[in-house]
Amino acid sequence: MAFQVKTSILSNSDGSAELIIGGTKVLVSISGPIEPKIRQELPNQASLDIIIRPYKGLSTTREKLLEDKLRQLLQSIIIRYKYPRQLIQIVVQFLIIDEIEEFTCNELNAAINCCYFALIDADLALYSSFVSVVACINSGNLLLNPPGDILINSDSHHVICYNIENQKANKLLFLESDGEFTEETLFTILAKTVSEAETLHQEQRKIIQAKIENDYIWK
Amino acid sequence: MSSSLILPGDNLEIEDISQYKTTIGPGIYKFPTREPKFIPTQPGILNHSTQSNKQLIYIESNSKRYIPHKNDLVIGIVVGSIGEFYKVQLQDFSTPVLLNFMSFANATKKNRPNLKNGQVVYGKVTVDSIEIENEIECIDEGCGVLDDSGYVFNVNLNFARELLYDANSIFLKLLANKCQFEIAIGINGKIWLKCGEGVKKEVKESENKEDEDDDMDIDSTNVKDLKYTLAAVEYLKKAQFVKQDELKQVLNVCFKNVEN
Amino acid sequence: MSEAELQQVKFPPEILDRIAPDISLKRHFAIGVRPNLRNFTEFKPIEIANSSQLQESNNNVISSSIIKSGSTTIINTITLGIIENINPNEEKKKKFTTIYPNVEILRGRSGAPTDEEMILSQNLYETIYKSKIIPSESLKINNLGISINNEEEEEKEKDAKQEILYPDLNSNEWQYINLSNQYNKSYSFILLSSIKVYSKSQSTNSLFDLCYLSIINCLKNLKLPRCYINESNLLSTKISIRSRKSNVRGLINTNNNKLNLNLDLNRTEKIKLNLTDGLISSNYGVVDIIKKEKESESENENENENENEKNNEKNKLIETILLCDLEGEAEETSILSRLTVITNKKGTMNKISLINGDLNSEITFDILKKAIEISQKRSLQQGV
Repeated sequence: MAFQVKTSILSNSDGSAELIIGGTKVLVSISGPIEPKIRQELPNQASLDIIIRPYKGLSTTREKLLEDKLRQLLQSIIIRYKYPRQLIQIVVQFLIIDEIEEFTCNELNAAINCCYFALIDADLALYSSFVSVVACINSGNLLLNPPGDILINSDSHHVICYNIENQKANKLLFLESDGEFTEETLFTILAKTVSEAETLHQEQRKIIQAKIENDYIWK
Repeated sequence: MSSSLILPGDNLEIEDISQYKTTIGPGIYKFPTREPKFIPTQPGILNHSTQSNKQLIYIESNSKRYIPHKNDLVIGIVVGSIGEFYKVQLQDFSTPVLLNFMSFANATKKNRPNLKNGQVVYGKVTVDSIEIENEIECIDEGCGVLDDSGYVFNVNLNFARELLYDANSIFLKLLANKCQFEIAIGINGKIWLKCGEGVKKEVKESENKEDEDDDMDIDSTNVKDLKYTLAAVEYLKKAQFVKQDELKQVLNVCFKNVEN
Repeated sequence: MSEAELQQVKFPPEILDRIAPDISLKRHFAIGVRPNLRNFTEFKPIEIANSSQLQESNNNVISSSIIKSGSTTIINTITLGIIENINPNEEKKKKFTTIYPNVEILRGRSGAPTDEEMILSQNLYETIYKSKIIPSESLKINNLGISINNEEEEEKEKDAKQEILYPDLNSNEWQYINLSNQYNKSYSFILLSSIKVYSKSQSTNSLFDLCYLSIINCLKNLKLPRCYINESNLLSTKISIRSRKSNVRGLINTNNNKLNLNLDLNRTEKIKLNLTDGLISSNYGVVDIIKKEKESESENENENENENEKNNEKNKLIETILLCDLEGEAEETSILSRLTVITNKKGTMNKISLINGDLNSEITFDILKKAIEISQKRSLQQGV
């Protein structure tokens, strides 16, 4: 399993990234810090405006819930005190998705990972790196990055986002588990996904390395 | 280059801050706690230098969005005025910065430049506190209003820094082989450039009426200057995405149509 | 001019709570209490009221629940909708279905639903779906009845006497009935839940808990009525209407596919759900508490040398604690590391939603374990 990432693909936004992970393709654009509207302005930190657009049609309550989850995660990871009275606008556009309407975990996972690259591209200050993994338990077996049709029949599914500090996934930033599962299963999944997250982080490093070399290609 | 890649969350390997006097630059965040703690917050190349008991750390990275810092030379567009200040936009959608009516060289109450919306100024940031509105001034030599015959365009911030700070930078030297130009580089990623007489909006000025015979000439030199300006702009825009050995080629491509 | 003297401004606790919730919270913790005077791991008591009145007085309400927790009251009514399964193969794939909640938080304001309401509704919708509580089969209308007018009786009495025949109950009569096309279509119920929240100050997380509880409570008591087709509807009646374009009168078929609900309470059937006992949703917040420093010892020592040690000591005095059931403005705005767990009596979990919003007070695996343990105990004691 690997990411396929392109950064800086939108020339008019401050940071952008396109990510393919499994059967999901997503495009994230970030503008900021920019001037907020008066009602968005916070006196001591940056406000976040997150807009999620579905792959077809207009956004509904389903996207609202996703926006809320993403906001909770990102507002704790961006150093918002560095940009008081400013606005950071993040637009997430899904291009291809692989799950039915009732599920959002593959999308959430792709959005989180893509936001990381877009934030890096926008050069916004972050407390730490982060990486997200999606796992499901299907008749007793742990499966990472499940495709949509397996997801429907799975017993439980989990979106797990780790904080990467010093190249180690040591803190749980975000966890969204649904279905039916025991405490034991949960901790087995957590233990197993830690190493997966660290491998993914090494991939992130390679991608960012290439991106930075490309930024300074004229040197 | 690879060895010094640093990402947010990585360990910052620096000397003990209790023994070294530490100066931090972009990309490093100091926790506002009683016990100082530094973390890297931006992805990029770590620059760390020590000297006797001092150390300097910063992270070099590229971005498109400019955050004002003191003493930065910037190019901005006047978008309005409020009280005794002009509002100057340094980038699209950024919070405008203020420029006092009096912050011009030799300005007095009676004699001060009257700027219109849309005019371009070259100034220096004097107030960069994030908590209050930022301010610029145009007092230093070279600062002031940039005339309308130049062309303003955007480049990445890292490239703008390279052009402005590196006196031996090859980009402008190469360009100088092709044409004469005047340039103003803003750290905010805006560049004002003009070749020869630059881009004149109206050819027929009232003062030119006397020598109407020369009209044809003025026209042709003006078109030539315009072409050169646009070619130079194209060259600089492209230069930030190619390797240095391809630079000459890019330059020739950009000026191919102009020189004939 | 005389020097202006700056006077210390004092705020009563309620106002400080409003203007500086973080400071107010810290001060409360410093003396070891929460702003709402509960213990750290104490849940707010929940009362479930008898709500059968709602069903009795409203024909369309088939289940309801009223929950009270402190100053918050939640009224949940469940109504039915009927849909035709147009594509039966597609429906078969989805083994489970969900409920369609519409949460309204009434704070004396009208207008379009707020983000909070939308997020709550959607969260409930997805959570019920994913916990696989309602099998699609349970909402399918299986024994569709037909009402017939008993003509003989009609002659005797003026009121048309209707009789509803069901294939499973009246199998004798059923064999004589000619089934129309309409009868062969497949129909399902959908459950619509309208949740009204009367609340002054409640965190979104604990509102989710209460709404979830109210839905589960409703589902427990849910009885589905029988459905029938009116025989007279089967005969196509046509009404002429004037068409807009011409004077020629067109015909409209009133034989619409209207299903009727049999509101006879004796004929209702309990819904077959996949419900585990003791389902309850609990929410937690995680926060750092600074215990009072013992400064007397460190002051005696040499300050320069022991500065690091001193800092270490200070760190030791910080304790990360788990708070149950967030409530009130101070807790809502300043506690960002949060956790919601849905547990049941079986000892499994149906949902965990965790966010480490505050990097200082981190939810570690140990805290997560502790929260799960508390939730499971709560499931055994007071889950519905």
